[in-house]
Order: sequence, then structure tokens, then C-alpha cells
Amino acid sequence: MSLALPFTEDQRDCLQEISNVAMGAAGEKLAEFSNVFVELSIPVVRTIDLQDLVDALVSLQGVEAVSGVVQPFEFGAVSGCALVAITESSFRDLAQQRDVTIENDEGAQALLVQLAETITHTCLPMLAEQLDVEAPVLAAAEVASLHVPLAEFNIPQVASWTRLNTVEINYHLEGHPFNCDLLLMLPDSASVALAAKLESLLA
Amino acid sequence: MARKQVARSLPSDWDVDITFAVNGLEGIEALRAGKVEMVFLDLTMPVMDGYEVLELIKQENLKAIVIVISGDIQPEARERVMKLGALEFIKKPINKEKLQGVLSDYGLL
Repeated sequence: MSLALPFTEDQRDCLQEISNVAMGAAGEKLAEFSNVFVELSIPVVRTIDLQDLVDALVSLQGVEAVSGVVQPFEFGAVSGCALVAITESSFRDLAQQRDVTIENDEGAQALLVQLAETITHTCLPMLAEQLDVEAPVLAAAEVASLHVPLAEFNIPQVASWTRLNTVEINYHLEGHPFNCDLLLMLPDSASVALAAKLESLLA
Repeated sequence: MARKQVARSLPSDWDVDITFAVNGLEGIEALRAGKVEMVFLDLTMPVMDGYEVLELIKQENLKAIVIVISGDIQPEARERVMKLGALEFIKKPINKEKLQGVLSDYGLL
């Protein structure tokens, strides 16, 4: 269930728009990585309780199993996590496009991390640039879950948060089964600082 | 915000009326009403996206100069909109320099 946002409508719109630009820049990298045209959708800004996090992975609902990589980041005083999550059929599709095997965990993890970094290493700096903060310090991306049912999806990096602000971004490869969710997650404790930053962009 | 950014990037001495559309369908309706000479078109929009708008403009032979302003910076996105009749493609984020540079390149200033 979505909760009331800690932002004004203008601030939400601003966060959506800068996310749109950041996702587009990362979409170009994903197109290069997969060699397929990427279909972009509109990012969705939401505030949710941690227990509802899995429900936010909209395009992954109702599928057999998912895998995910977490990329922690810091925008000045605001630290957050980006999650890149994909379904099994997307994973196999991508492996085929990249001509690699994911039959063993090593191969699967390597491809997952590559996918995540392709997206986050463009998206997050682009977001920082627009927020007018220093380029983020990016820790190494970590595999959070590999081939697990969505209900068992576990993201230890955010386990201590109770409420979080999310930006849901979906990437679809044209004419392919590939669907992947990028979820930007910011703890509620960062809401005031983020709202102030967004407000300054609107001025 | 995207719409405001474009409006703010237009030449300040331009004596024009601006109609904002929150999605492609509203944009098409404004075009059909004959209110529009120039369109600044986003691609990722609810209800009707920018590609569909370009297709309809072509199909219905609506007369307008279309400049696409999008965050979708894939080279193929640019190729597709140019093929569909857009005059130019500008990458987001938009600013005065980029927009007025394009307008001046095409002698529209």
C-alpha cells in the first residue's frame, strides 16, 4: 500500500522528471549492453512501508523466481540503495543476448552485477548531477538474491529501514520477454533533505 | 516541471501563446483545434506517447513543426522520431542554450 508522500506535488513531479532523465541515460547504456532497443516507461514515486517493498516490484509480480542486485549510494548526506531486479525469463533472455551462460551461480552473478552496474553507474551520477550534488560514491554492487521466489526476496541493506521513498523504473527490451525493475530506495530519514533539494531545483 | 522548463527556455521576447498538454492525446486535440504552429514533444507520456503523436500528425496531415525533447537518448529513438517527421531531437535536460541553439539553426528565431 502506498503512503502519503513527504513531498509536495511539485516536488514529486520534479523527482519524477529528473528520474526520467536519469533512467533515459541509463536506458541508452542498457540498449548498448543488450543490443536491443529499450522501451522506457514513466517513473513512479511512492512512499511505502518496508514490508510492502516486494509489492513495489510491479513488473515482477506473479512470476516464478527473481534475482536482484543492490547498489548502495551516497548523495552527500543522503544515502540510499538502488535495486535492480529481474525475472528468470528475463535473465535467460539477457544471457542469450550477451551469449553467456547462467547455468552456474558464478556466471549468473557476474551477469547480474554487470546488468546492475550498466544501469546504476549511469543513472545514479545523472541523478546527482541534476540534484546538483557531488557525483555519488558508489560501493560495489552486491547480489542480494539469486533465483528466489519474490516472497523470499531479501534486501539486507534496507532491513533496518521502516519506511522508504521509492522511485520505480521499468526497462523493457522491445520484442523480448526481458523486463527489469530498477527501484531507487531512500530511507524516510532522508525525506526532509531530499524535499529541500527538490524545492531548490524548482525555484 | 518538464513543461515549465521548456517554457522558461523559450526566447523571452517571443510573443507567443503557449498551450500545455499533460499527455499526447491533449496535445493532439490542441493540434486538431488548429491552435498550434510549433510542438515541443516529450516521448515518454501517459495515455498517448510521443511516437503515437508523431504518427497521428502524419496520418491526419496536421501542420506543425515538431521538436522532440526527450530523456530517451538512444540513437534509435532519435532516428525513429526523425523518420516520423520531427524537425529535431533535443536531449533532456533542456536549457535555454540548447533550445535556442536549435531554433536558431533552423532559422526559427
